[in-house]
Amino acid sequence: MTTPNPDEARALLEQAGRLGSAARSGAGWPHIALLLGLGGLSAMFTVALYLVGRLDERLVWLPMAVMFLWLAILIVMMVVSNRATKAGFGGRWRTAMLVWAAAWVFSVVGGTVWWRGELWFAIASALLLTAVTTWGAWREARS
Amino acid sequence: MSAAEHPRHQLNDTLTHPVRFSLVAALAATDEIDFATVRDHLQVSDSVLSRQASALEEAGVVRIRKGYVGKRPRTWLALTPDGRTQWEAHLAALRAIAGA
Repeated sequence: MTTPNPDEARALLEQAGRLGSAARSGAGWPHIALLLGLGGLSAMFTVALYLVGRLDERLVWLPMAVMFLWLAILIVMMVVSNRATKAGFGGRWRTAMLVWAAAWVFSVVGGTVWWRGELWFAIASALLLTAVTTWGAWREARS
Repeated sequence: MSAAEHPRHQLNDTLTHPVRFSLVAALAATDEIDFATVRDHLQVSDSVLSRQASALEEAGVVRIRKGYVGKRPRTWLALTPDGRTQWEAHLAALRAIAGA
């Protein structure tokens, strides 16, 4: 093994930094797209849940079916297009999914049991779901 | 400074090879990356990357996972926890040499 001199060592460190940045730069976007899509879908679903409650509750299957169809499309696209995950992705993803799931359950239960038919709660739920998923996507983009 | 204390003794022989060094540098920034993507980043051929990745796998530095996306085969590369530790130690030795 040839020992690098200080200049060569610095060049190697710069090269390692460049390669790391290049590997990171293309990573994460499929997950960011899924999080933003999930935010849009679930926020729109809470609004649809409110409107269905005012029109005809039997139609609740319709926004639910559309939401799950698009969720399936988003997940398939993420799996197909995912080429790399940034270091530490697993922990960030688990956190983002747990926070979204908690917000989702709270929104659905709140909109159908505790504050049923309340417009302010539908708006608040949509904002909450938008905020938590945008936060997750932002955190992944900045990591 | 005595010869035994010089940071060059902390360099990892496995990681001094240019392609292996570049491969591990790319892997260190990710949890996992697919073969084709890292090949394009490193601008090497499939056979060169495959050979060096296998050598690193034998050394316990890299984990290679083969799978499918639909019907298409895809190979994923990742650093093992021990490989990450070795890489950090190698970088620390380079920093020490650069600062010497």
